[in-house]
Amino acid sequence: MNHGNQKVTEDELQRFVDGELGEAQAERLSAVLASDEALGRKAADYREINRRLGEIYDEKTQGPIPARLLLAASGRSGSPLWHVAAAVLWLGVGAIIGFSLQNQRDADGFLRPLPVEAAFAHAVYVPEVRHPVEVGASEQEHLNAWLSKRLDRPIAAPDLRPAGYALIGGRLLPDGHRPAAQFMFEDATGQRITLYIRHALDTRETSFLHAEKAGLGIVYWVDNGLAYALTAATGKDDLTETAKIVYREVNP
Amino acid sequence: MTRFEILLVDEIPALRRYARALCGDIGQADDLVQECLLRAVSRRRLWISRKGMRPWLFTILHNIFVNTLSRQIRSPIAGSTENHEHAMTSEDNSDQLCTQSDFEKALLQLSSDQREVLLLVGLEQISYRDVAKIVGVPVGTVMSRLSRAREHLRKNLEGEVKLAKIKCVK
Repeated sequence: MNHGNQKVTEDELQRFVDGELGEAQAERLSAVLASDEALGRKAADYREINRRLGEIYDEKTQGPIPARLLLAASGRSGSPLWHVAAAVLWLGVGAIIGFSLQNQRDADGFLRPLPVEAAFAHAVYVPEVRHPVEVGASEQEHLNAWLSKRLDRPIAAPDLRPAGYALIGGRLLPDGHRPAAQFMFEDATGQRITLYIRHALDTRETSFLHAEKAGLGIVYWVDNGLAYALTAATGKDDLTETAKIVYREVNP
Repeated sequence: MTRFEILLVDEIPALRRYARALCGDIGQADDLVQECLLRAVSRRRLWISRKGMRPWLFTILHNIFVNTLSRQIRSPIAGSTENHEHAMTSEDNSDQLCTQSDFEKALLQLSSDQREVLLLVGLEQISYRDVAKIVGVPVGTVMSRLSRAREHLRKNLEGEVKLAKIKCVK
């Protein structure tokens, strides 16, 4: 057998083990593995890992389903995550305070840098199950009018449905001594994204800037006197795509 | 029971198994599953039936995990329960002390994103494509996380005493 032409990549090996290869490719790999001891052992180990995962965790979750889960499936129980939300809140606050201290030199006056303030507001309100927003999407006109009045600028929740996000609502927040606005959106899977808006300290327009902290991504920019920050637990690319939609919505 | 509820209940064992392996603790796992079920019920109108229940539920579970629990579960040490005593019962404790194998310890040492991918593929047998959608990363990233996770566990298999099979003697 000519091994020189039959290199097996790590990707191929994994696809083989997980049944992701076509029949012809799988046959070719079987033949190579049969004659290459090291590769054969690796494939066997990978299979053994899969087998063991099944064995261990099937056993550990045997038995009747707890009643609280059955109640939840019929919508008749409360959220178990209030204590988790509280713990995460404190972790998040700690992480972000650390972040803001590191970045103190960037701060202008007494205000925290925009991505810090936005991430802070995101970490506080996103885990909320019952009260994620102050005014819900059903009162969107009122929400927009109220926030516009308080920020003294026309402000409206952008339509992020093209990115798969529906508006949950929004709230007014303190940012230093001035008001700021937060809109919250959610996709069909419960992934939440927030848009934070405040008056820009430096009103020169910027391109999209990116920051990352405490597992959150933040894309932020200054446009027409307002500073915007979009925050979510997603990657930079997705976030930037959504930020472009916000930008276009604000500048029709 | 509606059709939606029946399908939902059918998925509970798989969700629990996955969450248990992900969190390393049954109390925390059941909290995660309960929250997932509640969110699924409240969003039942957003569920697209032709796409199946399982990927949708695992995506919801992933998002809850990422938004809340993943930041709580940091470098878990086997047998250490002080981070989540609210969820522990004495029964869970004995479960951990007696049967937590080196294999499971090694699994919990993985970063949570590597562990998620390994469990979705290896334990739940979900296709790379669906895993990529659930976790929200490209297939290539799924495969590289999978490879790193497997390499780590492989080292653990070598020369390992098979503790997984030793049951707690009561």
